[in-house]
This record gives sequence, C-alpha cells and structure tokens, in this order.
Amino acid sequence: MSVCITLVGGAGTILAPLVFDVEAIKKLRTLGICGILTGTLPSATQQNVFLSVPLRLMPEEAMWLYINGHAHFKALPGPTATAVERLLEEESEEICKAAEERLQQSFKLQREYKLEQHRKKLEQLGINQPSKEDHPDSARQSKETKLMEASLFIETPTMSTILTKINDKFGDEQAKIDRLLCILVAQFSNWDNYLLFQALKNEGYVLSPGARFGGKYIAYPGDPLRFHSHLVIRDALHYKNEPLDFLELAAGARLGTTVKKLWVIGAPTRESDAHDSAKTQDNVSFYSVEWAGFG
Amino acid sequence: MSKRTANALRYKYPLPVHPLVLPELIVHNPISWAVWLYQYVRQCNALAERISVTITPEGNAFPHIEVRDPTDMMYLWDNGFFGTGQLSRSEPTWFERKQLELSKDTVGGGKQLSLEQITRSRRQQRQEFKQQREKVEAELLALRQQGVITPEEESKVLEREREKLRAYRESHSSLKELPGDDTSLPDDIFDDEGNLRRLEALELLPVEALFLTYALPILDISPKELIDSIISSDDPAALDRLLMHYTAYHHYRSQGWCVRSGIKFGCDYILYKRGPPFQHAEFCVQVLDSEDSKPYTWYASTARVCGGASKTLILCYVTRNSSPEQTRRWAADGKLADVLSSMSVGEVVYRRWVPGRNRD
Repeated sequence: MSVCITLVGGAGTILAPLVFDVEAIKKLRTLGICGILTGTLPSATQQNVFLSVPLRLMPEEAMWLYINGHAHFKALPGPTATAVERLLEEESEEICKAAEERLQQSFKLQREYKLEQHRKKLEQLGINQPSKEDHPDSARQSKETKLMEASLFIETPTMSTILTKINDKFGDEQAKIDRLLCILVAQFSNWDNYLLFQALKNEGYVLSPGARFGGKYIAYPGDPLRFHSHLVIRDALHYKNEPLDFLELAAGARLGTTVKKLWVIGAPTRESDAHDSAKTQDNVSFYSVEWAGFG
Repeated sequence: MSKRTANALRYKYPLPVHPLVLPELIVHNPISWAVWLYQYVRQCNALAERISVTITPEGNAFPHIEVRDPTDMMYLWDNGFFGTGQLSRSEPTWFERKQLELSKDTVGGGKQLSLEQITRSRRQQRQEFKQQREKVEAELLALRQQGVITPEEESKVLEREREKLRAYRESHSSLKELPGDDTSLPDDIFDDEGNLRRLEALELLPVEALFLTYALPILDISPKELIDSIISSDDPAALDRLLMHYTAYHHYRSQGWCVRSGIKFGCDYILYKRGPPFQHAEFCVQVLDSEDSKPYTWYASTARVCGGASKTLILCYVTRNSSPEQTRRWAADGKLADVLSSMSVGEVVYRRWVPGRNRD
C-alpha cells in the first residue's frame, strides 16, 4: 500500500506534508516514520490523548518515503477552507446523506451487538428470555429499548470524507504536485540535511524534529514510545571548510550532555557526486561531542 | 575571621582604582591643614609601575595575553576579578596548591582543600553513589526477572536499599582529599635549586586587556599597540568583532558589574553582582550585531543552557552608528573614545515563560 501524503499549497508557500489516514499512519510507524500528530496543548505537551490526525511529516520524512516508493503525493488546491467551501456548495446534500447513512449503519450494528450481549447475559444468569411474541409486555419492552437507544454512541470517523472527496476531485494534477514538491524541497530543506537523515535512517534510527534540544533532528534507537533519544544532530556542516562557532559547540555539547544525549555534527563528504543519493549514502561522516567531567 | 568577612576585606575594591585616604582636617588647627595639604599633594593612587603583559605568539589569530608576575596576577584578580589562571579554575592558585601538595609529606594532614580538589572529590563521590545505586537496581531487576518477588516485598526491599544508600551518602559526606593524579612529577617544574617554578600565568581576555589599558591604564601597553598585536591588519571582521564585544564589556563594567567569560554556558559573558567568591552569576550575556539574526534553534539552545544553570539570558544588541570603515580608522588611530561614542547598546531579556509555572 502506498501512503498518500497531502500537500497543501498556497501562493508560493506550502504547509508541511500531511497524512490524514489512520491506517497509513500505522504503516508509517512500522517504517520508523513517526511525524507529529496534531492537537497538542502547549501546556500539556505530553498528553497523547488529545492528539489526532493529520500527521505532520518533516519534509525529509516525506522525501524519504517518496524516494523509497512508500508514498505518493496529492496536492490540495489553494487553502483548504476554500476547497471545502466549494465542495460543500456543490455536494452538500450528498455529503449529508452519506453521513446520515453511516450513522444509521453504526447504530444498527451497535443495537445488534447490545441485544446479543443482553441475551448472553440473561442466559448466563439462567433466565429464559421470553420471546417477543409470547409476552406482549410492551411497556417494559419499550422502556428497555429506550434505555438502549440512549446508550448508543455517535462515532466520529477518523478519516474526513470531505477531504477524500477533494483529493479524488482535484488532487491528481501531476504538474501541480511537482511544483509543490519543488517548493517543499526549496523552502524547508536542503539536500545535505536530507543525506544526514537518510544515513541515520539506514542505521535504524527513528528521527524527529530536534528544536527542543537545539538541533535539527533528534534520533531514537527505536520507536520513541519505547526509547529515549540518544543523539541531537546539528544541521549539516561541511566541517572541513566551514567554520563552527566555538560558543555553539560549547552550548550544544553542554545541552546534549545535561539531557544525556550526544551532540552530533555530520556532513556528506564531497568525494562523489553529492546529488546522486544512491552513491553518497555511505559517504556521510559524523562526529559526536560530549562535555567531559560533568555532574 | 569568617570566610565572608575575609572575602569582603580581600576583595574590597571592585576595580583596580583605590581612593586616596586623607587625614582628618581640623578647621581651627592650621597644622592639620599643612598635613592635609602635604598628603593631598604627595599621595597618588597610580601604580608605582605598570603591569607588564606578554602577548604570544605575535601576529597569531589566537593570541595569549598573559600577566606573569605573581604580585600582578593577584592584584588583577583581587581588584575586579580580571583574567583566569591557566592551570586553575579561575583564580590563579596553581603555585600555592602545588606547594601545599608537595609539603604534605613533611608537614602532615589537617590542611585546607582547594576549590579544585573539592570539585574533584565531589565528582568522585557522586560517581560512587551512582555506581551503588546502579548495583541495587540491577539486583532488584534480577529478582523481578526470576519472579520470586511480590510487589509488597519489592517495596520493602526498595525502602531498605534506599535507607542503605542514604546511610552510604551520609557516611561519605565529609570531603576528603583524593590522591593526586600526578604522583610522578616531571622534573622540569623545579628549578636548579629544587624549588617549584611559577609555571602559571594569568591569561586576560582581549576585551579585559583593552579595558585595563584604555579605561583604567594600568598595563604597560597602549590601546593602539594592544589592538595591533592581537588583530592582524588583513582581518577587518576580527577588528569589528573585538570593538563590538569591547563596547558591550565596557558598558557592563561601567555599570558596576563584574564581567567574566561565559564560555562555560555557551555565551559571551556572565555577569556577577560582586564577583565569583560571593555568589553565582545571575546573567548570561550574548553580544550580537543588531543587523544579525540567528536561526531559531540557536536562541532555543543557548536559552536552555543558561536556563539549566539558573541564569537569565540577555541578548545584548550593539548598534554601530557610523560606517565600519570609519570605526576601523578610529581604532587604528587609537581613538577608542570615538569608537565607543559611535556605538549604542540595547538589551533584550530572553526567557522561557510557561503560564502555569510563572504566576508568582
């Protein structure tokens, strides 16, 4: 299954690549791509129960998925709000009807399930369920039904139907997708950083954005729910030619060491063609810096 | 004498400027006028001899500005905490420390520990404590894996082990001297008569040296000579940087702060109210060109390092109000007053603010 990544484009700008499908998100997780779920409260950043779709990917994650054939892109035309408005104007009735149908279907399934459970319970207690025909005890029956109706859940779907429709309707103009991809790469990323990402990913690390620890990425040795991260990776630096600010080195290493991580500087070595990803992935080298005698 | 009064006496003057003490003037006693006048004319608070600095290597991009005379080293440290001992943490104490260490065999114990020794022994203790704790945790894990332990028992064991660890820490709470790591001393630290050589010099930051020759002329070098010998003429950017950092340094020194290097916290300066022996530094200062902007992660990581050390980060923006060429010309002519008056300094405090935690 190829995962659909939605790109939302505007006038020359682009939001981060988004994934809306829960099944796709599950699949990405097994690939070691975690992204960031939406909906965190600034005051309770650890509260995972508030999180929801869409999943926001780093540009590098999206590019890695695309290059390795795990994903394809779809483009949303313009701001989402206008697209939704346009769709609602045209198809609001249909959408309403579909939603209503889905709700009724869900109620029907729930009712069947509850009746079955009720019957089983009575059986267990040794009470014979009087069949409806024999006992016209309609008052009691209707009371029970009422109670059951009140306990039915209204289920909100995890996947937006409107979005799927928009995707189906507009999201396949290849030229537009290419243009958005170009903007994505140009605006958010640089190729050296991508090579670092790719090299660490191939080593089995799971990467996520590293601004919290003053870096470009942080790297976990496995799923972030199981491990603490071990590395803070700085933006790619061609350390043979480019200078590294000594104060930055001191601050980065100190911050890394206080949170029990390594501060890592990496760069692709320019021995082979840097734009041939297949060749360069082995030619990335890393240095780690630690603050000695701390604590 | 308590440590505090001793320090207050020793570090009486915040800068190497000492006020003149004049005798009491008794209005109706003309002799006291004479004494007073004589004292007024004769007294002088300038140093008898200017402090000599050595700059090595000449013309290098990373010069060392050193003061090698022991009296001068102590003078600069005691009067405003200038410079850093090259073989010490900050105060140049290597010679005294080494001598104490060497005299141990002859004089015997009961001596005071130096700050460097205290740090070392604290670190060692912490390490040992951590090892003990790790051992306990490993044992507990093994028991848990064998499945021979119930949760109640486990909590009991845990409590007992915690008690043990606490006792261990208390029994080790007194600091003791660790055996020196350099038991075999190299011969060249002694001179021909077998006396310990003074190997340590006080190293001044370029801005400190400039302050001590321009603002308070006590070094035996002129500001122009100093700039010429630490900045090579083909690197104008380095000169710009020095002038900018000096402006900030001079600004804080003239406001009465004790300014020292903040390299430990990844920023340019740290500000002490009085000085390192009295209290921790309260502020970290990062000097920035008002034209520059840095990536967001830079601000975040610097602020986090400072916040982790309970200091407030100050972004000190220096604005140049004349052209860089003009500023460089002034500096080349040794007209630092013109340079300083063409710069302005503005500060921004950068602080992490969490609504839930910062109400009080």
